[in-house]
Order: sequence, then structure tokens, then C-alpha cells
Amino acid sequence: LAELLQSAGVDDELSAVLIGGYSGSWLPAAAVARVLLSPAELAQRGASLGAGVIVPLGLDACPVAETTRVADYFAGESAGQCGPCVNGLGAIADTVRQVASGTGSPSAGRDLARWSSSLAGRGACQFPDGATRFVSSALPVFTEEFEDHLRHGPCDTCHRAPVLPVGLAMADR
Amino acid sequence: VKLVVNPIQCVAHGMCAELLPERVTQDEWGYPIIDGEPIGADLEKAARRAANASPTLALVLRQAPSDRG
Repeated sequence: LAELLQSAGVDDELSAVLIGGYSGSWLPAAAVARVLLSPAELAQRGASLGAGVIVPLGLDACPVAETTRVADYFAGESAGQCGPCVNGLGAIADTVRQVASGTGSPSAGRDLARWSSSLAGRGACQFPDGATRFVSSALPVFTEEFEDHLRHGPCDTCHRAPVLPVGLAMADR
Repeated sequence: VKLVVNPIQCVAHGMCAELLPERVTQDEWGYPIIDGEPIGADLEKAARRAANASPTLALVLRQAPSDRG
């Protein structure tokens, strides 16, 4: 993974790397030097190459703001056919947004962990599985950042241009 | 046999959790959470009753491959 990032010209200091696109998993920056990009090794870390998209997140980006936008996008993209997906992704998006703005309840972390583990496999398609994989992998990697936003609200880097584009911005890239 | 829910048909009436609390719990919106374990002979009758009671016929008893011999 380190070699790949290097050959792509990534030399900023990173906070984490998203492996497998929006329905993939976050790996902490500390893992970059040690991770071999093989399906077996990624599986051991609960990740997979998935859509084949790898996104390095620099220290100048806010992981909570990034997660908020993507969680919101997921909630909006649900086909609306199955209750667990509609309710669950909606609740996840609302809760992440509240945490990001500093208005989250003290149970937000527990709620997010519960929803993101209980939705997978309960839709007719696997959309909620991918959506919750993104969120549930963000929680342990960005615990400090989530707690900081929960207590103190938006940080200095929240307003920066998104690293992970959603909606029309996706087409622009 | 296994108990499976058709998530599109299900609109969270909650009959299954009412009739088969041994194997069906509900999330906070009333939608069932069913573990994938096979239903034993002791619960098969109750499971069938729960499936028949689903107002949207969303709950189905499915023959597990191992039962077919």
C-alpha cells in the first residue's frame, strides 16, 4: 500500500486510507507501511479492494466532515424498499451529522456502532452492507476526532473542500 | 428449516416477534432481526404459525439444504 501511494505521488502525512471506495473500509495511517495489498491480508483487516478505489486522507482534511457527507449521501441513495435500510441509514446520517455539529447525544457512539453492525444482511440488496462498512470502519479509526466533535463541535478543517466528493461533485471528478 | 424474511414485503407489523420471541427480535423501528440458525423441531410449529400470521406474508419458512437428505 505504501508503495502504491508513493507511486501515485502521495507524500503528505496521512490520517487514514480508504480502501475499496465508499462501500469500503478505513485503515489507519499507521497500518499503511505494513499492509500488503492482497485480498487475503486485506480480509484479515476487515477490508477488501472492492470497487478498486483507494483514497488517502491527509491530516488537513476532517474525517468527521467527510463521514457526514458520505453517510448523508448513502441515506439519500437508498432505494427505499426495505425498512432496515431506510430507517437505519437515515438514523446513521442524522446521528453523524449531529456529532459533527457538536449536538450529538452521549449515546451517539453506541447507537452508530449498533446500527452499523445490525443493518448488514437485512436488505434485499447489499447496499446497506457497504454503507455500514464505511461507517463502522470509520468509528475505530477516527475515535478521537468523533469524540472531539461530539464535545466541541466543528473543527478548523471541517469547512475545507471535500476529499470524498458526493452528488454532482462526483461527476466533476 | 430456516426462517427468512423478505425485507421488501416486511412493513414491521411485528407479528413474528410477538409469536416467536425465541428467535425474532425487533430493531427500534419494529423490523425483525432473525438469526440465521436453523429452526429445531421444538420450534417448527411455532415458526410456521408466525410465518402464516405475517400480514404481508414477509416471513417464510425455507427448507434448509441439509434437510432434504
